[in-house]
Amino acid sequence: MKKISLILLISVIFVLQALAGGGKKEEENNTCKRDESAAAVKKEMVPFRYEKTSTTYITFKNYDQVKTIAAPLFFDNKYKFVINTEGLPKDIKVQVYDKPRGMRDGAKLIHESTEKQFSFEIGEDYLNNRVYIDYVIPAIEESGEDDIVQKGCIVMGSGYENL
Amino acid sequence: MKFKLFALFLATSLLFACGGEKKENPDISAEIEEGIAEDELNIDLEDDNAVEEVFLLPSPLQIGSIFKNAGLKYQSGVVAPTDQSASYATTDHKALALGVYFADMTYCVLNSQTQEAKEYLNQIMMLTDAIGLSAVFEGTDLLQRFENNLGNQDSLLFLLIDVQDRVDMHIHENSQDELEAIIFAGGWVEGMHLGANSPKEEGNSVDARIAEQMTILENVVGLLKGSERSSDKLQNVRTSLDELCKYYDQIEVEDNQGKRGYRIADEHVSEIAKKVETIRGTILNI
Repeated sequence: MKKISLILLISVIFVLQALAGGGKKEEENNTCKRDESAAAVKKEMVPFRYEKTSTTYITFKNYDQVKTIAAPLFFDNKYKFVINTEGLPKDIKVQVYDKPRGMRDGAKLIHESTEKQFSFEIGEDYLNNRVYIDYVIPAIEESGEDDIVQKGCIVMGSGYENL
Repeated sequence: MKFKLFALFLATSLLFACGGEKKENPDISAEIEEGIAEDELNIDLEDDNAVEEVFLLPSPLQIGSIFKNAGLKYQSGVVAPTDQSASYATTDHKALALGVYFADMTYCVLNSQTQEAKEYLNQIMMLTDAIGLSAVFEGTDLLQRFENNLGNQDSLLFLLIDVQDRVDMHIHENSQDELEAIIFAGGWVEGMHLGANSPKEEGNSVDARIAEQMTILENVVGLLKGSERSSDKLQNVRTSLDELCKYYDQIEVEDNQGKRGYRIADEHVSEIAKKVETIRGTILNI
C-alpha cells in the first residue's frame, strides 16, 4: 500500500514539474507591420500601375540566410519594384540579379540596397524573362537578447507601365 | 529499498524538470515556435530550408493587359458560363473555377463589358465564400462599388486589383498558399483560351504572347506538383499542364528567335490551343 502511495506521489511530482518546464515559451520580437509597409509601397509605385504585393516573413537565425523572389517579366514592358524592410528588427541587404542562384557566373548585379525602402525599374532593354531578388539576411549574434526570437517581414510591391 | 526507489524517481523527474529550464538549441526551438505560431495564429512563416526561391505569380490583369495590347479583341461567347458555380464539388474545383472567373472578369472589364464583368464578380464572391474565404469581402460593399463605377474603366480596374489583393492576402494569412497556385492555374488556362481563340488579324501579336505565357507554365506546374492536394480534378489538370509544358519544351527550340522574342509556328499555336481547350474542358466540366 505504501509502495503504491509512493509511486503515485512521485508521479504527481513528475507531472507537475514537467508541466512547469513545458509551459516556458521563448519571447519574440515581431516588428512586421504589413499593412503600413504595403501602403508605403503602393504610394511609391506611382506612376506605374500597381500590380500586387508579396510579403516574406523572416525569422533571424544565428546563421546567414538568403531568400530569393523570382519575378516574371514580359517583353516590351517596363516594371517597377518597391521593397520595404521597415518591418524588420534588423537591417538586411537586397540584391537584384538577372540570373538565379546557382547560375551566378557572369550574372549582372542590377541593383543593391540596404535602405529601409527603395525602388528599382526594369526597362524594355532588359532581355531576360525573370529578375531575381535576393534578401540577404545576416546572422544575429547570440548575446544578451538570445532568448528573444527576432522576427519581421519584407513587403515587395510590383507594378508595370500602364499598357 | 523504498528510499532508493524514491531517490531514483526524484532524480529522474528533476532531470526532466531541469530540461525544461535548460536553454534549447535556438535553431530548433525557433522552428518549433514557428510551427506553433502557424497553427495558433494562422500566419504563414516560411521554413528557411524548405523554401529557397519563391516564384511571384503575375496577376490576371497584367496577363489580360498584355493580350489586349497585343491586339486581342473581345468576342462574346468565349467566356465561361456563370450558371454552374454551385455545381463545383470540391475546394480544388472551386479554386480552379475561381481562377477562370478572375480571367473572364478581367477580360470583360478591359473590353468595357461591365454588366458581364459584374456577373463574374458575383460568381467570384460566391466561390470565395464556398472555399472558406468569406471574410475577404466582408464590409467592402464591393458589388455596390462596382455598380457605382460601371462607366469608369479605370475605377473598375482599381477595384479588380483590390479584389485580387484581398484574396491573395487572405490566402497567405491563412496558410493556404496552395490555393493561390490552383486559382492561378485556372486563370492561366482561361487566359490562354481567350488568346488562342483570338481572330487572326494583320499586326496582331497574340500568338507571340501565347508563346511568351508558356514560359511561366513550368513554374505553375512546379507549384502544383508541390501541393499535397490530390482531388481527381486537380490531378487531371496537373498532369495535363505538365504534358503541355513538355510539349512546349520540344517546340520552344524551334520557335525561340533569340533574346527579342518568339515567332511561334501556326501549327504549334494550334496544338497549344487544342491542349488548352481540353484542360479548360476538364476544369469547367461538372
